[in-house]
Amino acid sequence: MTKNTVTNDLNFNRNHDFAMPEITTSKVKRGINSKIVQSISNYKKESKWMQDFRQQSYTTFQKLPMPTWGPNLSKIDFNDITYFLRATDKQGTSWEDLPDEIKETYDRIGVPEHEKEWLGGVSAQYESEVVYESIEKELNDLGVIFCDMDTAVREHTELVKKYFSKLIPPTDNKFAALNSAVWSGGSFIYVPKGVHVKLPLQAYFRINAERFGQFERTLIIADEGSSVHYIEGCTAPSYSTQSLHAAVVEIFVLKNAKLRYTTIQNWSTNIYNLVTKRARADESAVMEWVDCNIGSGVTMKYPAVILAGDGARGSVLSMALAGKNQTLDTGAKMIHAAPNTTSNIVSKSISMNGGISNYRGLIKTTQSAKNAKSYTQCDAMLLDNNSKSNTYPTMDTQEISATISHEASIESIDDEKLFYFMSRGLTETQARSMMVNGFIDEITKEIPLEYSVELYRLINMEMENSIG
Amino acid sequence: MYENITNDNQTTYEITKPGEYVFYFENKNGDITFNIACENVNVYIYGLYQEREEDNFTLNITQNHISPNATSRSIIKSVLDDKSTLNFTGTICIDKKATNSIAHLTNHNLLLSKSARAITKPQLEIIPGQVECTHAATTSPLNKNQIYYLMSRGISTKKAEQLLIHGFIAEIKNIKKQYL
Repeated sequence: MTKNTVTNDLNFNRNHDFAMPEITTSKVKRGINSKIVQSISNYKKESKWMQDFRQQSYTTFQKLPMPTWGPNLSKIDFNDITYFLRATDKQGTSWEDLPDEIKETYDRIGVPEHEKEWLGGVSAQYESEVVYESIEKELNDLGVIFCDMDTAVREHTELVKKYFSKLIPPTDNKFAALNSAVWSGGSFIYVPKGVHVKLPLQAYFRINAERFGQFERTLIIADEGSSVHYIEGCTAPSYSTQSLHAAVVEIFVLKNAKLRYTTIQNWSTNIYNLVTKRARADESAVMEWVDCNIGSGVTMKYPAVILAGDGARGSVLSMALAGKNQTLDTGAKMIHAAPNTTSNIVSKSISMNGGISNYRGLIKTTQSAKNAKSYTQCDAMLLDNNSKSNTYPTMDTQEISATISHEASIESIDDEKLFYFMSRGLTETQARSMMVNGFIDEITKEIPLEYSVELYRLINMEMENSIG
Repeated sequence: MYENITNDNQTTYEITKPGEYVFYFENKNGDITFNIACENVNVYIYGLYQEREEDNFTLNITQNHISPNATSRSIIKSVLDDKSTLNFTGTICIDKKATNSIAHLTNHNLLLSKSARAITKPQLEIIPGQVECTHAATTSPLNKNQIYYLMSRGISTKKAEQLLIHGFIAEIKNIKKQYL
């Protein structure tokens, strides 16, 4: 039995390892300056407030420093990125209207099958703008708005103005500022009072142009007493040049509302995935982040919930699978700012073939957070001797009645367990996959079935490749 | 070997011989690193903080495993009253060579006052497989049910609180007694 040997140069998303020719019709120049930011506004025919917002954000972007902590980002060259390109001039209204290349790309990921199954509405992002969008009649009847962000800025200006960048201002961090200046695409969802959206809303994101960063901007508002589940999943073709993905996601969960945001992230390993995600939960509201990170070269993502109303609840379920040449720096932030707020964080990370997975978290309890309760569990699994796992939680407690607890453990696959499995007739690979799948079971049972099946297969594939 | 390091100015402790080591300290400021450079070593680190008024302590502990087959455990407990603050960072570092390491880090904070503050950062930095590492941290007030129980036995509120605090720190205090 040879153990912990790495034989293959892995890149497990081989089935998505393809690239379609660019069919761009309009593309701004590579690099960034205030003219380029302005030209994005011009292309989109934006109103004055958005133009000003972009320009101010660009100024902020120039002033802000790069993060001084976390993974190495020094290889990002902001002038070597194309900040805006448009896949087709007009948005396709039905599947048949889409250009063949786009259809082919989607076929290979399996969008139409997904749609047939149970999609409420598909808003698939090819390149930087939504080109395909199908909203079921049901959603319209309920008064739910589900469209891409550009449309929302045009058609629901007042609603957008009220919430846009209120949770994540451009001054928050350098990448939020960059996104604010050059954002394009992303989803906008508004769920009216008391409306429960039964089917999950999904969006597919794609990056397909070389040296092209995707800067989508998502804003979700769940009005009082409503509930909605939003799913974003990504697969991207492999490219050798560095690419940047810096999204901003803002979520408002109003009184008694419930929102779940599920992400399945599977970018190719040349991509920097630097995302700012934040939600505000008002009185008795529930906000749940489910975050699965499989791909990307470097990920920095810490979904946050600001528990702003009495009895609000926040939850983060996070999973990271770091393979060769990957650094996944993920975590969660909970700000308890109101009484009786509770939060729960479960983080599971797996490091293999020299991958690095980090958990970085913050639980802050302010003096107004009477009886706040928070529990964090972060478990890590190391599959070989070259991989690395780090845990950096911070707990800042300023309230006497708060109960804050944190637990972390790091383990490797136990030889005894392995022996037990193998004595029952399983091969080593099967035994290992089984243990890994069991380890992340808590997360996979929370994501929709077709994703957990996909995840299960991906892990089995990974395990097969990692044992010589 | 038992050592009270409360008044030591030393910041790094090199452990180079096999055996059991117990380090004990109270209300200590600063950075302390334990380099475990020998096999078959058990290191126990106990820290106790009883803070009041405007006490403000900062403690950084590093359990640095350089050699394989060693165990380290640290338990830091604090009782924070008035406007006191404890800023604790505990790091477990396991070197590539240090396989079969067992390392645990525990931090429990008890807040007695509205203005007390506990900032705790337990960190793990692990490279090799075949290790067992955990950390745990809690911050909480006195348990109201436990106070109620004691009061139902005819004990005054104040006395009940004192008993619970006493029980909380006993785990660490007893270590000291055990070795003296």
